[in-house]
Amino acid sequence: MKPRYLIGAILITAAVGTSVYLLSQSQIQYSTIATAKTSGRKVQIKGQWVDHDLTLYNTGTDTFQFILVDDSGEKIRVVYHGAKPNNFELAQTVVVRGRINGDYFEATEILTKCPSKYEGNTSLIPQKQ
Amino acid sequence: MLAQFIVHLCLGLAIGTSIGYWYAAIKQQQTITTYSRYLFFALCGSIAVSAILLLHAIVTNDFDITYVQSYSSRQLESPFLYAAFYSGQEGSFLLWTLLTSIVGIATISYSKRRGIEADTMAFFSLVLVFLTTMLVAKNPFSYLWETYAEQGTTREFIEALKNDPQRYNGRGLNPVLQNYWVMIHPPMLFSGFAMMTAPFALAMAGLLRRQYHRWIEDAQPWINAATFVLGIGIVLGGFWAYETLGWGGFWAWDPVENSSLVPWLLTVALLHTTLIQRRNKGLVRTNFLLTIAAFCAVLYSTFLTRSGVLGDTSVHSFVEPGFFVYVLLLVFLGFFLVLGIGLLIVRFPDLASASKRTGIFNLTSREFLLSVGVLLIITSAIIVVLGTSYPIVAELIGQQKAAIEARFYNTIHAPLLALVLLTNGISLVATWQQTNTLKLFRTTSAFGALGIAISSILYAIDVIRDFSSLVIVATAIVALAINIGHIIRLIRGKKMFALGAFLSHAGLGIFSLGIVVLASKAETSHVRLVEGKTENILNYNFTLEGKQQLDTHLTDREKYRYLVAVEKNGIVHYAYPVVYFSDFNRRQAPFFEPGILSTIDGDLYIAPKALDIDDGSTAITLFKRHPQFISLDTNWRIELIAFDMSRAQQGMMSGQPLPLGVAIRLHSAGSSQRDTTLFAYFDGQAFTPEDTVVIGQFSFWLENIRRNQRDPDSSTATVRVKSNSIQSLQPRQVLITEVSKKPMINLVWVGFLITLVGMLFSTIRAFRVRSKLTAPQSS
Repeated sequence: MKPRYLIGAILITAAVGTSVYLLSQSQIQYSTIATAKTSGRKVQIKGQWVDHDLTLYNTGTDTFQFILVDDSGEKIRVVYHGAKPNNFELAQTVVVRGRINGDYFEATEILTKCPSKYEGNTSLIPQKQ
Repeated sequence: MLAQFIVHLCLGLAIGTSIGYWYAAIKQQQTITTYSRYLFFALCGSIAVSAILLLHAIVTNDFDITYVQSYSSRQLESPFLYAAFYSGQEGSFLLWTLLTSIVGIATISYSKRRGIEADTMAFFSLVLVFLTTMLVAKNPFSYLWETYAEQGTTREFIEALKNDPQRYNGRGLNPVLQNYWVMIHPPMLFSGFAMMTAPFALAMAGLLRRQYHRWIEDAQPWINAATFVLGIGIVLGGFWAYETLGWGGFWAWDPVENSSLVPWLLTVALLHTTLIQRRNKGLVRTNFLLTIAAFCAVLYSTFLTRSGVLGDTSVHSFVEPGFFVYVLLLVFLGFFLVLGIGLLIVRFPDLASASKRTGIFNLTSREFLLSVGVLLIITSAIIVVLGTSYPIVAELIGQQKAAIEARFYNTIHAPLLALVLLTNGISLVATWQQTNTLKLFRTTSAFGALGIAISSILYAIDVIRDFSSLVIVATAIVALAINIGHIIRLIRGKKMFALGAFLSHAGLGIFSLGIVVLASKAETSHVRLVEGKTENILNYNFTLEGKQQLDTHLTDREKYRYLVAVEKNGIVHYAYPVVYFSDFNRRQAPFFEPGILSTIDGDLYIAPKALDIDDGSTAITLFKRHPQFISLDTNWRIELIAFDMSRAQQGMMSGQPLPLGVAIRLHSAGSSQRDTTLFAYFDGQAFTPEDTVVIGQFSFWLENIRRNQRDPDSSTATVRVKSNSIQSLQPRQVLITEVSKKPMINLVWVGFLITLVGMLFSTIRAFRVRSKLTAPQSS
């Protein structure tokens, strides 16, 4: 075997092997609140925020909390040590990364998915319903 | 109606052109080639007309058209009307198609001179067939009554509203996009994508005609140019994210970013492997494979970002385009993958014999070291593809859907970068074919010693802090020193355009130094800036001095520039973070832009996060059974005992606002307790505090109660506390920010820009060499 192929093969195998290992280490699985509670691992939960009145951002302590309802309909209080994400109010879906801590979900990251265009801000389309 | 017809005409012409060129290529008939060329020009003409019509519709506020209605509005200012052109999927496909057709014209004139027009354009026009199909599927000229027929929109309904400028209006362009970056970043990226079509078509023509070495000569300047332009597009995206989006960094390994990076990494690899083939006739198959891969990476990235498959893992948001477009994008990718790889397999036996290396593949030759470097770059591309595709792959193989943390890319790229930098340097010490091993060893170890010395010093003075930084700095110094040596030699010899490769390599070294210092020394802190109050954070004194309204002539927004004085050692500079409210989201939430204080050795990055008002009181949100410290004096803690609905139940009948109460208990450090009940009136919308209760040095009032219907026990109450010893103040504005130090960020920008300048030099050189070569033939 030619050395360049050998070296190439070794290099790529090593890199891909390492990356697959790292992938398995750094993946954060999508989970529901129920499974997050039982596993105790770092997960991410996709859902929607509900209850505008319970969405609080304490500027003094820089703590943000809200109520998340996951796709199965279960609710949990999410606490995040950081500012309220920009456009949080407009987010259609919210993804939180972190883990369950007692009776709430301690988020290390909050991703908000905003519509790239906002429905409703037009009177040219009759509203259904 | 005319515009919709023209879009269909584009598809027809693209198919016609393609058939024409294929026929001409197979039969080798010059006359048919000429006719096909005219058809191609007609195609370009109608694509241009479509683009003009869309622009016209945007400029004239033709809100009959769904696309215009979705991305523009009467209030949108002129430069951004052009940005509205490509702010949605339909328009960005039109832009891509337009740019591809322009690249097509250049490719025609280029390939015509080389006598390979029919073959090249046969493949090129196939790309346009797919792009125009996409335009027909996602027609930018659909009318509202077509798009929203299901919702009951009719033409009559729209016509009736036409004279009402309030109602006959568009949704407007996302204000996040309304800055100059949007004018240049997307067009550059799409230009890069469009330019990738040329090397692909040339490679495929080469495969078809069995010109396994000549195509490299033909494609080289195009590969250079595409790499250069796509590189600009990528770095502009980084600038944009950093300077106005306030993401805090220039690269977040987001799927959308990754998917523009992969084609670029592959063309960068290709730049090196074509060099080897031109030198010694090796790597013939690799070059074909890489060219096909780079082009398919563009299509794959389009699929990832436009089909909605990565919807949950990207901060970029895309509306789901529908099943048909999803399939079309997959077919687009699959077709060119099968076409490329298929033809490569057909020619494979032939290719093996064409691969005649004239030199010995010596372990110390420049060829060999270059190949190692290329392998490293390809590895990086594979890793980025793996990481980006992981969520989809996981789902396909029945695993739990998962996302990948940015840490993954950073961890694996640290050693890769060090190896790339090392080969970057050493390959330039080595010579083609064979290198004097002793000399190579001597030079390398001398530079290596220099690198280790410098990185040790940096480690000693605490500029870098860990082993991997140490290694990257050392290797970056090796790369930088060797390249600077070459640059000086070439400048002395006045060979300016030969500088390209060395500039690019040196740029990578500078870039690497920048990211290492940035990664080890960046500091971030949360700062609550109260107007007139000075906060000392990260060794700077920050004072919010006030705000100024901007863009007062625009009625659709309320935009403020905050004046933040930043003082260090008696020198004051100002940073100007921006906060604005826009009709786009009905002013429900503010938009933010960071204020950046740039100095030569780094930036101070002030990213606004929220607004608040300070009246001297502090809000405390209480849950049952969770006593909390009063931040004004932590000798005291406050606890929510119960909600008091007794008075509300009495007043139920009267229709008056309801007095809702909370029973609270104060614990002092000396274990004494004080109980009281605070009331506020709730009128169905808002709370009005009943009165202020004074206990000790504090005043308390109830701001609101947030009831949790399902679980009343986790309802909360917000109580405000104010110290009586402090004079009551005027309400003051508060800007909540995240302040970061970005040391040596300029090295990142300068490094990448030098890399791009190097690529520009190489591109100019490649085109110049070829125009000289072909000049006698064409005249």
